[in-house]
Amino acid sequence: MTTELAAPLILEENQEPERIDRGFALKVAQRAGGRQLLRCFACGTCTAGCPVAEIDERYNPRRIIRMVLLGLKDEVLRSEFIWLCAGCYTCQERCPQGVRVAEVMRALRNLAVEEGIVHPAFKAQAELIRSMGRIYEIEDFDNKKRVRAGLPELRKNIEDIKTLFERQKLNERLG
Amino acid sequence: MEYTYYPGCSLTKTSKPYDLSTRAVFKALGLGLHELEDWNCCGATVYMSVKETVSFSISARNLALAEKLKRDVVAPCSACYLVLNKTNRFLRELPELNAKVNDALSAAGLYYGGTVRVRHPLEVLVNDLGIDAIAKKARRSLEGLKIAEYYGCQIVRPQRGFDDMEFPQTMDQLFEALGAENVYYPLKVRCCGGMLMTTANDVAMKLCHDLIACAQGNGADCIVTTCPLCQMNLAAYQDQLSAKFGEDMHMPILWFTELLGLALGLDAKTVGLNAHLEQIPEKILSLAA
Repeated sequence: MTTELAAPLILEENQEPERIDRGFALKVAQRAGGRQLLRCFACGTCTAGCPVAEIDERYNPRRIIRMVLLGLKDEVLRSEFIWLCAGCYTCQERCPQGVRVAEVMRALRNLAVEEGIVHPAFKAQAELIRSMGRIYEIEDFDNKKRVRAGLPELRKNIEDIKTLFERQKLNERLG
Repeated sequence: MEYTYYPGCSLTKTSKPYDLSTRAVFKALGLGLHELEDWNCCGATVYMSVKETVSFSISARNLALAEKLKRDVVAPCSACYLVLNKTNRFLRELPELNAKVNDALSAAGLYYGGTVRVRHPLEVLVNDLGIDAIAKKARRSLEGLKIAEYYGCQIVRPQRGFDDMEFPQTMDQLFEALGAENVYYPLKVRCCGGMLMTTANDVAMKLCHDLIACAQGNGADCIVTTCPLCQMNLAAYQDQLSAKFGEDMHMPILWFTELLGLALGLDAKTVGLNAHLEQIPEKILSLAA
């Protein structure tokens, strides 16, 4: 992860955060699985149970959620921390307020992508899915083995995927 | 009983033994597994993070294809199981998303009504067939084998599907009935790091170290898991883990279907044990002799 994406989490004396976006929390809440975010009372159960936070304390789900609720949009979306969630859902299942923490992290990544910020590893895999419809390429060798095992061949490229991508893109442009 | 089989990307390449053993075990138990024709990527956690509306659409394409067949879908990969279930859940909860997804599907001549049940093979075997019925069909005993059952994250969370999310028991009971000894393994549902192995290596290496060290410390002969990514993270980096932590981190990491297959009398090659990156010791291979 390149460091230029990371914004300082702790401000110097008299330093103002770049921008407070008062609508940011609501924007995140409108995403799939985001609504419960507004109920967070900052108990920290999420961070206490997080296996990543235990090893790398830069990752702190409670802090990220607080920052979202405070409207620190740029700091959140430009930070590398939102890409550190491994998606184990421990926080989400233990949250006494029903906040879907892992879904919030996913929503934040989506919002970051919309701002043009995307983790290179995610970008590379997304490109594979877009071009082939699968993460791994199906080669002639694979299909030969499948036929020998009595299985039908798999198509190398799935046309429908391109159709789905194009339709979504068109719909976004139309709003 | 007949099911629609959704192997997912991992099972075509890095988790080939999981694919072979799942098919073989279902066949040996008399359950029909029919591969979904022309399936695509589940939408994967990766794409969910990049562009969720597209992700829900490509995920729903699989569900739309499966819906026509009117059978439950069996998805062995934990990430596929999670993403397909998540798609089902969000399409039900969010009518606006449902409309967008079905609009995209209609461009491909498809429609998804939301009726497909997506299930994990472990749950299907234990609930539809039952542990007693499986144990009756066993041809070999796993007696003398000590196992650490590792469920990973995504089949127990976040759906609260078929087992406890903090201390699941399904696999433990299954292998106990087949004669194996379950060692104390409190990290059953602790994360392996998932994709962090490529994006935050230090974190994932520590998580994998703890999982293997705990199983070794409690005397397990092997870790048995239900997830392609857990298996890969635990099996593929054993040399690096040993070097990094200065301990011997070598240990066989099996998919539950492989060991179940051996118990059902299948041979080592049929369940894919010859295609592992890590060494499979004689103690396990001799089960198939």
